[in-house]
Formats: sequence, C-alpha cells, structure tokens
Amino acid sequence: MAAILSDLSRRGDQGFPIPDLFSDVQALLASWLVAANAQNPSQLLEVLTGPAGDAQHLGWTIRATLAATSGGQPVQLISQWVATLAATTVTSAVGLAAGHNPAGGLGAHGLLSGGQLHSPAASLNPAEPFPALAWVVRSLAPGQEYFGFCLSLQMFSTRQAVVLLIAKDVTSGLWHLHNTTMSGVQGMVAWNLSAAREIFATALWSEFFNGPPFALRHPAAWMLATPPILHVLPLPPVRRWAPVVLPADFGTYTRTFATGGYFKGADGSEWLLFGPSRMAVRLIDAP
Amino acid sequence: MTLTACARTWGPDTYNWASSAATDVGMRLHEAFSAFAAAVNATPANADLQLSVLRNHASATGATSYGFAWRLGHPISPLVLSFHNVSLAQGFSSSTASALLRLGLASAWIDDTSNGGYGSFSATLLSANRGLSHYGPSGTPAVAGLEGTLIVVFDATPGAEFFLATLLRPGDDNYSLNLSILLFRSPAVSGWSLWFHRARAYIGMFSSNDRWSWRGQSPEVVSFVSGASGTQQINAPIAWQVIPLATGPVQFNSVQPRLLLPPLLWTGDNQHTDPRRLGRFSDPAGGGTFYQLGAAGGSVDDLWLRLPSSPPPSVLSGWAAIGSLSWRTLSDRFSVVAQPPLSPSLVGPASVPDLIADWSPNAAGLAGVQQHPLYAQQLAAAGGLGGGGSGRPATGVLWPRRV
Repeated sequence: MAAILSDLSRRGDQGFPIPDLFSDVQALLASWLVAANAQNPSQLLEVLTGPAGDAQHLGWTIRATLAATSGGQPVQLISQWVATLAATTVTSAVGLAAGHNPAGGLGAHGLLSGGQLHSPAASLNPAEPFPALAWVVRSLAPGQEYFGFCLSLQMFSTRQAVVLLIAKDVTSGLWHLHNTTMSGVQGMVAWNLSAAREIFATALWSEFFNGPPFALRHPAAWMLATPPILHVLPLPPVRRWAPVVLPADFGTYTRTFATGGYFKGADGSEWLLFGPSRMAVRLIDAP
Repeated sequence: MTLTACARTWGPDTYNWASSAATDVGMRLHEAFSAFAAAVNATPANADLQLSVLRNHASATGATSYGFAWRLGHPISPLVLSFHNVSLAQGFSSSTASALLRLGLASAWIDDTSNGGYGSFSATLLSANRGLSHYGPSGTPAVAGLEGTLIVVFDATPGAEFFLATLLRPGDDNYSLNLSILLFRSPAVSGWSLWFHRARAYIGMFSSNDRWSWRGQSPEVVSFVSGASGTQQINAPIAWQVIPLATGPVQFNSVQPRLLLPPLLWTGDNQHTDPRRLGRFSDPAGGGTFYQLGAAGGSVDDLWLRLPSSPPPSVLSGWAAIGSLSWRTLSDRFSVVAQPPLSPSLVGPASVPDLIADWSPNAAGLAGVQQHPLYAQQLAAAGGLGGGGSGRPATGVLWPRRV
C-alpha cells in the first residue's frame, strides 16, 4: 500500500502560483471526495468553502460529518486553512463544527473558534516570487483513506505547511482532520469513541531524538492532548482514550522543515516528507 | 508459565535494608529472584541465558553495605549486575545517601570481598552512585514510624521473561523513595535488558533512569518517549529504540526491531501524584487495576503496573497479593492511552542530506533535480526527459521539462 502522488510543484516567477495551484488541488479533492463519500455512506465530507469560493481568502473550510453522535446529533468536525492575500497571512484552525460562524470573518469561509485556532500569521505573500513545491497524496484503500496537500515555498521554517489532511483514524474508522500553520504548528481534531468527546493534538509520537540519527517510526499516531490538571476544577475523571492513528501509509520521520525531503528506508520502502512537522507518507512499499 | 505478583510489607520501624535476616527485605528479594531464576533456568531455550545469584544480603562482610550481585547469562557476553548501599544515611540524593549500581561484563567482575563483600569490577559498562535512602532503624538521622514494602512481579514465559522488584516507602517523610529494578527479555534481543527506575516526589530528586539493552552482542543504552508533559497521560506498550552510534553495533541505514517491555508496564507523565502514598485506579476499560510504582519528574517517567483481574496473578507462599496493600484509590486525573504496536524502526543516515537515503529538495540545487529520487521516478515513468511525469501540471512546472 502506498500513496497516489500528484506533484503540483510550480515556478513562482511567472505570477503568483498559489491560485492556480489551489485550483488544481481542488479538482483532485473534488473527485476524491466523490469516491470517498461513496465508499463511506455513513459519513460525509464536504467542502464548505473552497478556493473558488473566495479569491481573496484562498483556502479550504472542510466539514466532516462522522458516524458518531453526541447529544443525539451527528458529530461534525471542521478544518480551516485560509490565506488572506491582502494581509499576506494564513489562518488555520480545527475544531467542532459548532464553533463555526459563517459570518464571523475570513470572507466566505467564516471563522472557526472553540477548537485549535492559529491566528493569522505571515506567510503567503503574492509579492514574493517563491516557487511552490506542492504535493497531493491520496488513497482510497478501504479503512485507510486519506487526502493530503502540503506545500513549501522555501526551506526556512516560515513557509511550509500541511494545508489539509483528511484521513481515517484507523482506530475508530472515523474521519479526522489535520493542518499546520506555515510555521509547522500542528492542529488535529478527532472524535474519540472511548471518551465520547473530541480530542486534539499538537504533536505526533516521534523518536525522542531529533537526529542525527534519523529514524522513521511507523505507524504514525497522534500524541493526544489529554486534559491537563493544572488550574482545572473539577479534576477530569480517569479515562481511557483510544489512540488516534493515521493510515498505514503514514510514518513519522525525525526531520522538521524538510517538506519534500525523501527518505529511502533500508527495507526498500520510500517516503516523502509530508509537511514541516515530522510527517512522512509512503510512496513506494517495501518489496 | 503464569504471572506472579505479590508483596511483603514491614511495619513501622521494622523495615531494614541493612539486614541479612531471612525475614527482612533483602533476603525476601533474594527469595523472589531465586524463584524467578529457577523457572527461567529450567527453560531449555535459556541454556545460554542462565540467571544466578553471586551475592545477596547474606554476603555482606561489614555492617554497612547490603545488596546483591546477579549474573545475567548471555551466549557471548554474560553480565554481572551489582547493587548495594554504601551508607546508612537517610538522605535523598547521591551526596546525602548513596548506593552503588554497577553493570559490567562477567569477565570484568572480580570475585573478592571488597565493596562490603560485593566484589569489584576491572571495568564497568555502567557505574552509578545514586541516592538511596537507607531507611532502617540504624539510619542517620533515625526516621521513625514508616512502613516499607517490597513488590515483586515476574513471569517466566519463554521469550518474554521478566522480573520486576519495587521497593516502596509509602510514608510522608521527605527521604522516602521508590526504587524499581526490571530485568526482561524481548524478541530480537540477545540478552537480558535492564531498567533501573527511581522516583520520589521530592523536587530535584529525579535523576536516575538507567536503561540498558543489547544490539547484537554489545550492551547499549536505550531510550524512548513517553506522554506529553503535564497531561497526566500514561501509555503502553513501551517500546525502546536503540540509538545507532558511529562506534556501536547499531548501524545507520538499517531496520531495527523495537525492544518491547512487559506489556503490563505503563509509563507516562504524572507530576502531581505523590508516589510515597500508594496510588491505584481501576482500568476504566475494565479487566484490571493500575498500581503506581513510581512518579514522574525531571527526566524520569511515571511507572505504573496494570494487573489483570482475571485470572488473578499467582502469589508466592507466605506473600500477600498486591491488591491487599494500603493503596489510595484515585478517581480522577489520569488519561490512559494505549498505543498501537510499532513496526521495526527504519534508521536513516548519520547525517543529512546524504543524497542516497535522505534527500532534501534543495540538497543539490538545480543540478541535483534529476538525481532526486522523486523526480528521477517521475521522469522515468514518463519515458525519460521527454515526458514530464504523471500528474504534473502542463504549464508552469518548476523542474526541467523538455518540450
């Protein structure tokens, strides 16, 4: 099992490459969504606002309706990654759909609050003629479906991001959503069936060392941001949380801010470093 | 083979590490280890992994140092693990009260009466002078009214043998500490692995956390990650990762199996529970109970034991079940997250970019594009430079494209 890859990288000296790039990604996403929804009839993925919805607030607001209920209603998660071109900023957030205010800002996208919100930060500037390294990876393997898009404008730590990752949590079989800021700060929201509530994460389980030596850890699982106890009353009860685990095509590699890096494992597998925050996706399986 | 889990408790002022009496803690530890060693040694597959007791509390030649020395068998490089206290102080750090933990090749161990009767080493792999509060009636200063407990948990199931001993001083005294010694086998590891864990709630105390295992025929220090700080999260299974070294037997660019610890051990972050008061909670998922053996802090992880409720673990004759101890039941704070099993680790190069196993998009600039594995594949898929690779945009592409 390995990712289907589309390399959408393009040069930046022939005009700002992002609008065309996002448009290409949206086309791939739209066709993947049709197939993903068809093979998961109890769940629904929707693009509430895509790149075509607001040319000045470029990005995606994606809603996942899960095969799980809370208070009698289906659980809905939202991932939002929006580049506000006039301000040259990117806003990213993940959270429950209840926190989405369609008229709250970011043009046609509305604003998602109540989850993990990363305020607008500098990052996508139409005046900068950066080339864009950009990859879409996807799979429709049952139970292991995902669609991800990452980009890198340079090798510094302020111009790389996972713009969107929609993936099955292979533990629960439910969709979960992830993105990063252009500085590699991770956001993730999932629904935890064990604890019957949402769970966030800001890191993947990775090796304790940052390398060298470098090592690929597999499978990739989120280090869940379970409730802290400082300044919290009443204290949360003792709870089990099911792990949130990415599809088998994902691993973690100890390098950061190396989007587009490529790792050849000693077992013959080959991995693309997907985004700035230690995620890697398998392009070639071990023989 | 069955899981054995049991405890001995000594009442106020009767716990005494510095004693060789058969009923005191030292010889009880010897009794439990001997039972485990006998079961391990009886397994035919363990012919090269025999365990034996070289020294125990009865070996003390003076009135100060008490401890043990165990020989850990190995087909090539058997080890000796030696541990004894070197003072009778009731302190809490290596400068106020100390014990000596030594690990060395059996060939380097000198069978003499030095070190209080525990022998010496011509060379050691590990020699750590650690704080160990003596905690007996002969200590300085005298600390009164505290109980002491020895917990042992072991299983001699072939291939997954382990022995865990924990000394607990569940009092309120600042000097009390928890000390755990774990000896275990893991698939793909040629010998016995070792974890020496010490925890104590006293701020500034958490410094000892020695982990040793094997790759090939050479012992190696290992490490692992545990839960995020401050979240009261405990995790299992624990999988160690041996770190490659330029001078060591672990090679770069290799596939390295994980070292699996006994699955009933859990670690994590828990900086707010006092280990001196025994804590436990029922598994919210049912089927077992978590018992706290040590608390987190500094670089040391919380250490928990999850015992199944059915079948109940065996108990050595004359010992008590662990659940009968005076645990304090906890109902809040803890998040229990079991982790998916890990595949073998793919260890990469020693430094990057090395342009063979680990590429960076800017590793070699424009000239390196066609050498980059990703682009080389795309070009090849499209029939060499005449194509453009599958899925690439028709216009505006970044990389070379012959029209």
